[in-house]
Amino acid sequence: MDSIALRDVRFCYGDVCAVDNITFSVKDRSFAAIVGPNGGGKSTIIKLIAGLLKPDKGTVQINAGRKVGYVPQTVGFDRSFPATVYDFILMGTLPSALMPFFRYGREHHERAAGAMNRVGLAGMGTRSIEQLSSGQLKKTLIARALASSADILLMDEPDESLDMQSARSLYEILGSLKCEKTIIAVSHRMDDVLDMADCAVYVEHGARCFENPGELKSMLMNNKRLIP
Amino acid sequence: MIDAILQYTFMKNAVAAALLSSVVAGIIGVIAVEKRLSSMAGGIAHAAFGGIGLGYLLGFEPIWGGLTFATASSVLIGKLPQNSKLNADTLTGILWSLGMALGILFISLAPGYMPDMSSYLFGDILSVSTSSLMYMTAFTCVVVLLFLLFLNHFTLYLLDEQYASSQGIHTGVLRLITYIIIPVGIIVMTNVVGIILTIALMTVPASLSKLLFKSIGKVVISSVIVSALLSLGGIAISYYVEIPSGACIVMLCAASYFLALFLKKILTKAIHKARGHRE
Repeated sequence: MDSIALRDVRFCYGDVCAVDNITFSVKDRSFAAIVGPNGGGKSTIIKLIAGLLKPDKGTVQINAGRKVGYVPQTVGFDRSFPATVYDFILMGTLPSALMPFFRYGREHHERAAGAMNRVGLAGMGTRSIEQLSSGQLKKTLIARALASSADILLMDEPDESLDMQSARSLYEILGSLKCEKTIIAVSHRMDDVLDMADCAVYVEHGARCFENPGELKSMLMNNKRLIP
Repeated sequence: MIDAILQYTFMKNAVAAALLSSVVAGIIGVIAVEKRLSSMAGGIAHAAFGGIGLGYLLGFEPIWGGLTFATASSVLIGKLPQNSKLNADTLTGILWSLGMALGILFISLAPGYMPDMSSYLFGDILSVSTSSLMYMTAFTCVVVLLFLLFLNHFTLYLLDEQYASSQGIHTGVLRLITYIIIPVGIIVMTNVVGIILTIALMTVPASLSKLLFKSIGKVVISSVIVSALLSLGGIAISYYVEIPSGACIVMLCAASYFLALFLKKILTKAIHKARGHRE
């Protein structure tokens, strides 16, 4: 069963079309890697799926009842914001609907603590988000998405600005989540992401899907033109 | 000074006004600092002067004119840049100067002698009337209620609006609340430090509290307390030294912030040094 389906999607920033004719789907509980050159439209696709952008043409369909958790490429917030790691992850458990005088309950705290342990941040809950390294911050962002009980995790360059060891530890976490969640990850580290993926999408304004990520890997290594 | 507070109504009113504006400054200060809206808030405060001038010209309570102009400017700044190519900063600058210009124009067109506007511009906490205290109380209640209404969602909105949107949270409602409570709060603070000096009371207690605490709840509570201490301290200095209260409060704000920054640096260095010795 498909978790997400994009059909003939186009999105333009003003006069410049970032993506056009994008059609692909991702099955439930599978890992899809989105790769391609800089400026090819990978992040735009993630934002379209996250609902942060609305397509100019076509449809982005998310299977009913599936919740999306978004892990952004860049930290789009002020890191000096007064929040601890635990506070930050707990915010992931907020319901979508604005409920007057909403208070976190036991279930929310359990979800936040579970997500924190899952990504290996146990014992760091009282640390300020300002004091985190890039790798720890990425894990915190993933934990927030996990705390939201998301069925689909959208990761925009989760390994960006991480050293080899931190990136490997991050991919281990993603590997452990593979059989529970649908994961869609954009990455420049093609080796790591394609080795782990169940399917791959090459994006360069248009898109081409590969059921076998190894096929894409070898085409990229042979410098073959992927989108006519 | 305590004798004076017990004896004179104007002193009682001054203390009550300082406490009310501290509650407001603590809340909207944190919003302005975290959302980086301090200069926008400055623009809104100055735009309010146009409404105050209109009140004088047409003969209605100037503060209602101020509130209308401030809220309209706030909603315009918050709304317009999303739909147009006009930059929020440019619009803030235009409204800032236009509000002041309209205020001066309306007051000059009003019949009779030109009134003394210094209490609106620089604040005069010692002349806050009992009727002014009534609307200050009502406005403070509006600010507190709107802030607490969706507190946890609002905190996420302040931290990471994009993530809140991706979770389907109605950030438009939270944005609207922001652009309503800022002008309402500014009008409350105008009585204490005036239009020109509101930015100090809005930014200093929140920024200072951020140096001390790492949870948003504690920062808000600390901002309210710091703001109250600075306002009451300013009133005390003003009372004894006989200098304008608004200026006193602002100077105290600036001095406290730099002192806290300096102390924090020294303390952080000392902690690092101690850790180094231990290792």
